[in-house]
Amino acid sequence: MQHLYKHIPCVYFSASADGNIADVNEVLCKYLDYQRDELVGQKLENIFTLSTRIFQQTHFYPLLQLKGHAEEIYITLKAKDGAHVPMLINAERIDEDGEISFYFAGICVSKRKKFEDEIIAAKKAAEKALNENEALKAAKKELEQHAEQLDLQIALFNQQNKELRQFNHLATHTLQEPVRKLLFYSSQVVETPQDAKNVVAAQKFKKAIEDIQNKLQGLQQYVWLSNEALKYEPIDLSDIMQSAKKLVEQQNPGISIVLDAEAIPMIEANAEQMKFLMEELFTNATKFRKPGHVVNIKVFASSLQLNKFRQLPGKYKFVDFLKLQIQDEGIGFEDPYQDQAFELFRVLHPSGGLGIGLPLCKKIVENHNGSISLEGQIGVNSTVIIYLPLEPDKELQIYADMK
Amino acid sequence: MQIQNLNGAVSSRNHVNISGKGTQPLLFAHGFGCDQNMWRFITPAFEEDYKIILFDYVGAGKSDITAYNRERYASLAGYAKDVLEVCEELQLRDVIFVGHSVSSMIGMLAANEQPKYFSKMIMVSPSPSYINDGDYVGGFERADIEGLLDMMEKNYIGWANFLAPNIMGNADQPGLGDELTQSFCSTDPVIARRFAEATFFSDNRQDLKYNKLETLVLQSSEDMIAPLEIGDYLEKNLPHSVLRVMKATGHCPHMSHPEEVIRLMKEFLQHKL
Repeated sequence: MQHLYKHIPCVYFSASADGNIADVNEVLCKYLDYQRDELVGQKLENIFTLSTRIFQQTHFYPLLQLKGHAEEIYITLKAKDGAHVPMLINAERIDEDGEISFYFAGICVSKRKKFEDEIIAAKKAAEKALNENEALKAAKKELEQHAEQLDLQIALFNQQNKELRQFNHLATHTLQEPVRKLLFYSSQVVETPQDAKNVVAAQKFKKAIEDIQNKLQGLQQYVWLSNEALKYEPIDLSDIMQSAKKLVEQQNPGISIVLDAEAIPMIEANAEQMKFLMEELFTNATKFRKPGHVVNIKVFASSLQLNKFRQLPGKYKFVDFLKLQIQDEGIGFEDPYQDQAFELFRVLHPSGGLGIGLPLCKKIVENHNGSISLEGQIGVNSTVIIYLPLEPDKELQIYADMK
Repeated sequence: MQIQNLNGAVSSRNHVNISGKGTQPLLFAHGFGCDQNMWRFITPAFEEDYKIILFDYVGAGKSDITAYNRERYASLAGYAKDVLEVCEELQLRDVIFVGHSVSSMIGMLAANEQPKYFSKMIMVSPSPSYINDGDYVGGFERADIEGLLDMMEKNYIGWANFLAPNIMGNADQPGLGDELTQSFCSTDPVIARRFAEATFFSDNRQDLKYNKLETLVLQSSEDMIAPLEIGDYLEKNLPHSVLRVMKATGHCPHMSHPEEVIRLMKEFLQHKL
């Protein structure tokens, strides 16, 4: 029996649970150019090539541990002189009264490997030839660009559709209200010119006109942002936040903004619009602060990879994005309203402003192919979450210019 | 063990299984090389107190291979999307994420992107980057990995099952055990090669600093894929982390030394670390 397994025309070796070689047969010794004594008691890893060791750790061992056996596993063993010997191995995990052993038997597949290598090489050569075909490559690139442009166009289309609805709402509702007031108070003034009430009416008259004026101004800014072709440059948002803080403090005497910001990775963006964005956000935080004169703003920043395709299902291209979380300890708002906050002239708080600030922010972020959202808890805080690509897409930039 | 099979689109795509008597979600993510079965020596210890969620990444185990997308899964960000989509569909919150090997980084990327789903992180044999780079010891040279990729192309473990999952499940071999074993660690050579590339050529060292979760790093005392230097590197560069070097050896301590892994996990979860 001993003799049989020693010279049986296949390699055979066994190992203990901790990976020490328990036994090897002559055939294996011959392939690897070792004496039996040199191997028994040594670590299995000594006869495994590095790739086999990785494969052993990630596939072979888990398979044996879960299933108890593995068949037709291709590995390479390392001979004494470092040469790689390709093997096809079957393995068993045997539990004898709690003592675990691993048994391996296999055949050398040098010839088969050569053949297989040739097949794989031929397959790769064919693939390579296919990939290197210039015309095909150009067509593929064009196709990919078209997909990206299509994705952008769908995004743009959806956005414009939404804007159209908002403008419609503006025309039919938002501007109707001040106009109705104007008519009402003007008729009062005309009908009873001497009445003391008319002083009040005249004041309200003025306020309604201002309201219309402000809304038209906001609208103008919005349209301006929509048509602006963007010039990109490297931007340090920390600097921009510092100047936005100063500006908003000047505009709100007596208020101090405490800005606690993490280091922000540099991005390429339009400086003017980024400035506008931060000023709007800080103005908002100031407006919706809790009673008092201090506005606490925390900024968290990180970079991460996101799929740049936002509309086309099944398309993926992961690119680097900046994630900014701008948190204030303001009066917060209820979650269901978060989408509405970005709609034109949607005022969530009775004390609120014109309803133009956040839509402008959204416009700016979307101009940069990013996204913006709000999270918050009423009475606790609100957080604006902004994703911006670290670098603009040059090809899409050309497209944006065309737009 | 009561197993709840789920019908949602993501749940069936990723072959999600839920068990356990508790409510606190414990989400286990397998690494490169196997599937959710890897966790079978660990999960029973948590059945009583936790809600255990297991899944296979697309391309592994019993996932829906038709959902495999070359561009998506060329990057660990694509695998992180699987994790986030499972969390989203199951409406999970405060998840304790347990990842083995490359899944540690996948989980961290997912949590960096959508922190709202996660509360804690347990990393078993993690590595932020596998290739040596200057002073950084990843453990491998690029050429080493090329050899592995070649080996991946030539192994077809359970491949036939992959293409026709039911072909072997006939009534002559009854019993859940048999049915399960047939799909263990199934490996489609093309997908496995790409997963190996996404794994071993990934470099997430720059992402570590964004970790906000309390994190346990379990490091084997002898692991060629994540050598001791990696544990030290993580202890220095992964915020909110606590490193435990185990007596366990090898890259799969959760399979070879489950008792030690369970003990350290429980100590960490009970705030004893």
